[in-house]
Amino acid sequence: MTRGRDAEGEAGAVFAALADPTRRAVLRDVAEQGPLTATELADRLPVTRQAIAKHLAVLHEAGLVEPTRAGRENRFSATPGPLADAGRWLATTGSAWDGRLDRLSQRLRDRQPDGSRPEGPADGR
Amino acid sequence: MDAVERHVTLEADLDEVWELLTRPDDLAGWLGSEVILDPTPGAAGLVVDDDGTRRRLTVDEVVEGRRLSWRWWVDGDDDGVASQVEITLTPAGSGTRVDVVELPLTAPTTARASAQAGASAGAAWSHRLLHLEALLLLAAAVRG
Repeated sequence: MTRGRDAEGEAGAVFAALADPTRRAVLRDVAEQGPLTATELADRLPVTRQAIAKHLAVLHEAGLVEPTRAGRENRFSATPGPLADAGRWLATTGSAWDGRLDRLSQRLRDRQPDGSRPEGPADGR
Repeated sequence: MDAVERHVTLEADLDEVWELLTRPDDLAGWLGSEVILDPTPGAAGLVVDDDGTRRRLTVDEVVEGRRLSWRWWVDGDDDGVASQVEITLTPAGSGTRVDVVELPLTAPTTARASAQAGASAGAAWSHRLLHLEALLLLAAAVRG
């Protein structure tokens, strides 16, 4: 059950869902060849239909696939939205480290005020 | 690319850079506006950003003058992403190269549980690290 609706929470569910290699394979097939049923996926992957159904349930919970009723079975399509949340996590985490490492460099310069080092803010260029 | 990776080369020797990574006064000058990070495996800590975001952390690995790693997660966000940060120092000419890798972990709740189990949990934890390369390939496939 997804309790949080914020981007970090969504990304957490996505990372958890994609931690399993079989689930990644299921999502890849659905994304590339979907919509597909659990039976069709079981034909393509070395996993039972029951196991596929469980993986699809986890992917659905994370918002990565969406079922539509087709006769007796659901057909699953991939929904890219939550992957964007995961992408946002990567982007914000990267820019946070850019900022921290800038401050780390600045901190070092502040500790070396005498200009004895070859690099510094007043290098005459 | 498997994770967020950044690096910077500083004109200072290993010992001086290690001080910046481990002394409380210095940490508060760059890692966050308020930092509690005792460089001892298993130690619990806290980082508060300028915007008020609070992250709880557990120190995983400490190799004096060389490597520091911890797990952290946003305080009070049970569904959020926990991640592992590893900072490695390497001599580079007259300076020191600082490499940072941050990898998302699958579940912050489990991160907290293993944090209480101590630093030995670190090894058992590593198999839960995600392969973001796979994630990015999937993202491309879904969009295509």
